[in-house]
Amino acid sequence: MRILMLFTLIAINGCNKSIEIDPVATTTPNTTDNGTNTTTTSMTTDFAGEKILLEGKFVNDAHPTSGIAKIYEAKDGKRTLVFENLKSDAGPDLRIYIANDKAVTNFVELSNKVENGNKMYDIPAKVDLNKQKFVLIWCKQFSVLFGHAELK
Amino acid sequence: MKKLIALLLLCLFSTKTWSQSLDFAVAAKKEFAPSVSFQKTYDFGKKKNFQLGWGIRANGYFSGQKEYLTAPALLTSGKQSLAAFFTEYNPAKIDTINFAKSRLVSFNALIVLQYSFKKSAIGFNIDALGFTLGSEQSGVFRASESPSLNKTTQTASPTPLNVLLISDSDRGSLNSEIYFKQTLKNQNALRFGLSFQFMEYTTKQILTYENDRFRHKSLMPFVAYTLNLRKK
Repeated sequence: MRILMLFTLIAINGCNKSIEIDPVATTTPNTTDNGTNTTTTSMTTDFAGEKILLEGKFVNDAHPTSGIAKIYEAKDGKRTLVFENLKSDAGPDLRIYIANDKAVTNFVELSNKVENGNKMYDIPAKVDLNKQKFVLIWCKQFSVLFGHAELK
Repeated sequence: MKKLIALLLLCLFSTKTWSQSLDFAVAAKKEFAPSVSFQKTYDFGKKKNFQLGWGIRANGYFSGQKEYLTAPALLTSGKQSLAAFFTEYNPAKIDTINFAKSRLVSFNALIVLQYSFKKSAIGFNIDALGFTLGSEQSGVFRASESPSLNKTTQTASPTPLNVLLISDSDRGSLNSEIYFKQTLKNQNALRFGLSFQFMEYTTKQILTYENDRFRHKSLMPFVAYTLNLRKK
């Protein structure tokens, strides 16, 4: 019994830390305030064969924020925002926006939930990546920018 | 708090001495703001020197070119309500719209506080709740942090709902006055003092920092003639 519990613990820890290239992905659909349908997915998807369109490092604004943001494009044109090792403070009503700049101009909400670690989010077709190149961790309730990544 | 409000209401309805008046005021500087109000005040204290009351006020604001600043307290100071009043502005999140003219008319319920001595009085009144009408305006938006919106022309209308929430937490267009009042022989009165007014426009599209509300503040001297509607 103890050995079985030990194996279970190892298995759980392994799931949290590794970024497995595994076709199985857990998906949680959300509907945000502005009506955008978003999808938060744990990082267990294979991006082999997908093209990296943009990439940027998170930097601090009002709160310490680190990690990498990448945008992948699949062969069918579907675009995905991927966070690698995102680390930011917890806060009320945190959102993930993609916008023209740090001033939240022309934003599109990608998620109404921010989780540290490795996560991915569907990017709606209406997002213009020629203009909307800033990923923001934004506290909607208090209008505070926690951190941002400029994608290049 | 509930007990305090209940006590205040009890005082209001139990007091036997009260007065009501019609007031015509004009505030002006480089802009022009006429107002007309109906006020009813109730006397308190042993000598009936204190007055507390309510009223309704129609207030116009007409001006040439004025700069309107980002309105929400959370953006101007990062604080709300009374805390915002004592907190310095954070210029990083304050953007501006320059309107060639302002044309607003607001209708608000107001609160009056007054202290009388002989035939004079000093007092304060403030708009609390109401609505605003006015024409649409266009102006140049300036936002240093937003290259794509900076120097664009934006269209806005007066914020329709007015609510007193203290300092920059206020919404809409509100007037407040601090004044000296002198009763005349015919029992009417002259008032003069300072009028502090908030004027607010809401832009058609959401601009920087998820904001669409922009405010202009104006401190103007004013004079008023008060018709006493309950002469002894």
